[in-house]
Amino acid sequence: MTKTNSTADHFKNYFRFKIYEGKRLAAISAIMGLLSFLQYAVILLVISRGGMEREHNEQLFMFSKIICFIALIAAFGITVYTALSSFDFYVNKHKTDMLGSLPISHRVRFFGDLLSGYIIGVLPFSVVSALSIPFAAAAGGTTSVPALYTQYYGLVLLTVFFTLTFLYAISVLSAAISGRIIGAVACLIVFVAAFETAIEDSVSFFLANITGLDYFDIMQTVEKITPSISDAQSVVNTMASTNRIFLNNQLDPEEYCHSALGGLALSNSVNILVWTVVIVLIIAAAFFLSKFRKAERIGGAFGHKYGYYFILSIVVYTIVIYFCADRAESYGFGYDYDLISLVSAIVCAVIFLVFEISMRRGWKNFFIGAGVFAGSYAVVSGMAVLVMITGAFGLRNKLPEVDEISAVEYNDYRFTDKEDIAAFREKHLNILETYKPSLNGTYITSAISYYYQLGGIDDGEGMYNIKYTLKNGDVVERKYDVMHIDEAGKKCKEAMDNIPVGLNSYNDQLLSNLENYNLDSCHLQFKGYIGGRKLKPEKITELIKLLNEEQQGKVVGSSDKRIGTATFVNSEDGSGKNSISIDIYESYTKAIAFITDQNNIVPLDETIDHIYYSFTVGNHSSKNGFDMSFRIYQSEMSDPNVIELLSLLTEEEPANEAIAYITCYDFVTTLYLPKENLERFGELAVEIFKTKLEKANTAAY
Amino acid sequence: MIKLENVTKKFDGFVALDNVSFEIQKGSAYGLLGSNGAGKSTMLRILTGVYKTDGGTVSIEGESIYDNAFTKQKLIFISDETAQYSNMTLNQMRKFYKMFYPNFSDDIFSRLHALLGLPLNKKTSAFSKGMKRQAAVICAIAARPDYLFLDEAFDGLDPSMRIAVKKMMVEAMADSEMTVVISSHNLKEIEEFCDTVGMLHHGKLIFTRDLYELKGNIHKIQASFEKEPVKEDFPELDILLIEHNSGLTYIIAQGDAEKSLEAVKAKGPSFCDLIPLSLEEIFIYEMEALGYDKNQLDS
Repeated sequence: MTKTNSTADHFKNYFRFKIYEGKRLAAISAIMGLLSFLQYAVILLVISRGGMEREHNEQLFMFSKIICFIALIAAFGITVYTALSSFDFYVNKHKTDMLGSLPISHRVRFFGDLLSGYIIGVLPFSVVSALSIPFAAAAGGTTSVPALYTQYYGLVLLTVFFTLTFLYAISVLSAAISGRIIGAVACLIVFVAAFETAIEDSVSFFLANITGLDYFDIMQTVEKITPSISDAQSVVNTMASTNRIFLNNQLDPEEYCHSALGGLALSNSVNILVWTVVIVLIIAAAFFLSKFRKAERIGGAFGHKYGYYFILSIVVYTIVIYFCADRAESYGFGYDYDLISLVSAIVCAVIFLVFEISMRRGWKNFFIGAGVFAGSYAVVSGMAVLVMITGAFGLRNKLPEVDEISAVEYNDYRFTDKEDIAAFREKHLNILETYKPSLNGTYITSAISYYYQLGGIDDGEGMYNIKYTLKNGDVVERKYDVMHIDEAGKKCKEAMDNIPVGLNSYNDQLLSNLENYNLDSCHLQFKGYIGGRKLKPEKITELIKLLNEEQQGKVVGSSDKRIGTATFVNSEDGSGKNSISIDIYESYTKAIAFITDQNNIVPLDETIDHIYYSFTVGNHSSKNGFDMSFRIYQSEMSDPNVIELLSLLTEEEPANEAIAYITCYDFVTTLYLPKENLERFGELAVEIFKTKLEKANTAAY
Repeated sequence: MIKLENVTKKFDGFVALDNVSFEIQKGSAYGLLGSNGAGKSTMLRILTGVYKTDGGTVSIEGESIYDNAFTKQKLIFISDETAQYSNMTLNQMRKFYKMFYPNFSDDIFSRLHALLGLPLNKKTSAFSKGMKRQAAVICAIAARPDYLFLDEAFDGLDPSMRIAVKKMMVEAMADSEMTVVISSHNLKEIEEFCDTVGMLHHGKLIFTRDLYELKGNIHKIQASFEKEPVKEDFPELDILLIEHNSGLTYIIAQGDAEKSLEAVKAKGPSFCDLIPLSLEEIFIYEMEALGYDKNQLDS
């Protein structure tokens, strides 16, 4: 009697065969993962030479960064190669008959190829790289940061893992839609470009038009969520940055790692979920595309009859939306759709001709392709232009009704009174009506394009952030970045700067919420406070009360001059995410008297751990000189040389040409060095350096 | 039994198979004939589930083939392409087929391997074309399928190996009632091996018939007349071709051989004889009758 295998047997057998077939690739992938260990070897080398001077450390740091980069590129190459070779049934004509007639179903073959390719190409690199975490923890035992390092390095590897998985999924999709290796590679390039550009730009472009929010703000959020191969750059940077904490034991590891991870897309669970869903959707698309393709198309450029036109449409869409978004990014709402249309049409046409000539499809198909090309171009560019010139069919300029609004925030101010809201909304509508889009491409911020045409001559710029909070809890935001150099810009400024209503200030609202934020520390950046100061904790409530009194009756557009900021933070949080900054104006006489009373202020040496100075010696405005930098730590504050050096600096920019400027690390205060103090400054700096070197050498040996 | 009903296959508008219907009985050796581009390889790929039909149905023992792993377990397809085995040794090929075909017999493999003497652990990329084909055939026979499909089965085999391979297949057919479907341009081999043949031309099935019946139904009569006769002189005969060479007249006709001979004799030839036709000759005459240029035939 004829024996038969079950579906599970089919899968198991096919999977075993594929793993056996790809075992060499798996070994190569694992070897590439060893590069993750190699970068540690560099780090350990530095650790073993604890006294190595900083400059040399930087060179080794660069070396470890290069190793990261090579490892990632190799991992990318192997991932793509494995995906395409694992799914070679779709692109290798030699295997059509053998694999096509094997007793396995399409589903078994697809998931066998998918899983085996993943295990061969992606997992060995990822697993071996992950093994470097305990290695780092063990090897880093001589330092104070191994646990922290491994925690952050785990997140870096998670991003690597997801990026490789995402690339693998796109490669599988490319194989499923192609009939030849070269076609699969071309599709891969198109898909990666589409993911890198089309999706992010589309979402940002349309959302910016529909919501009226700033394009760049939306883009930053979308970039984080959208899976992207270019995140590899942030992976390399983050990996290298975490390495840096080994190299420089003067850095605060926690703060530095946190800062480094800021550029990493997968540092939160929502982003991981989005990536996972996108990867699953891509795999599902690849499954169905492969299911409905015909074996006889293997050897042709595309696996489906309309595959070429599909890819062509994606290319056209990506190019058009790229140029639309590029203009949106550069010019806010100041689009030049005629320019967009011309440039994108030329680029699309060139790519189309390259496609056609390389595929040698004949004149008949050429004309069909040209028709599809022209049609898709007309649809995409028409849609984009329509969105631009109509302001997303009026959505961009649609404002909520007065009765729906519970509060309006405009720049730093907040209105809750119904009459104030109505007056502000009326002003807003007038501006939109005056500067609404017209067919010749003139928009509310037409001044921006003039600004660029005039070679960057800036006659003032206004950033108008408007937020309507509705009674149902929804928020409608609008953001205008207006250059005040032409009539349109000037009118806009005039309108927005002179809102003749008495308003409750935004600061007032913040102050009333301070208790809810559990903010127990107050930093003061204030005229005369070099490097900032802290308020004594027991004085915080009193300052809040004073600020509340000072806020009463503030008017938007008054001539009151802002002279400082009080920043309330949670001292245990450390992230600064929940901080609230209250502006202090010249008219706040009681509050100013309070925060300049030294009895209420924590002394400077208790306020900050160190100040990071970077000096540009030479003309600071032209940067025609050289840079140098060093830190002064709290323990060094009593050094007479340091005290004298600080006394040479001034907050006031000298009338004569300043020759140095200094950035304070924590509070971003710019100080200047008058010309007459230069010689003494140099002598003191050399003395301070010598002292630091002596200390470093003593510590090393 | 393999059954095709109204099978049509198109490649971007080109009709490779046009409404083809026929049956192949279990245990038979079926030869698929046809000119270049007639649709033989396409037919085999449809029969083995590589290609999906654009119309009609194809089944083995009542079950569909395309994307049906359980039906496909009963069949093996050895195509004319051998590059897919290049990275394997013969031993690896054995393991490969053993994975997918549960009836695979190591005993049969060992016996056939010993007979042909192929290197077991050498990559087949180092094999000649004939050796690769031998390797594929012994793996296929050892897998003991119910249906074996071979495209250009004897291509690249030397005469002694052809005999050996044919012997293997005949033994397998005798042992397990295996059905063999062969496509080949080598009509001599088909004639020696097959009991049924089908002929395709431009995607259409010209005929499918028992080989002996076919050979009995078409014949060649050699005769000598004072005056060279023409086709119209024999209205009672279904003449495919009439030729004259060196005073002799050759008549290729379909129908009963004895009746045809009597009809020719009735015209008073000085000499008349019935000559048996080979399959190759039948093929050529059939193709000529369809208007196919003889000079383009490659068999």
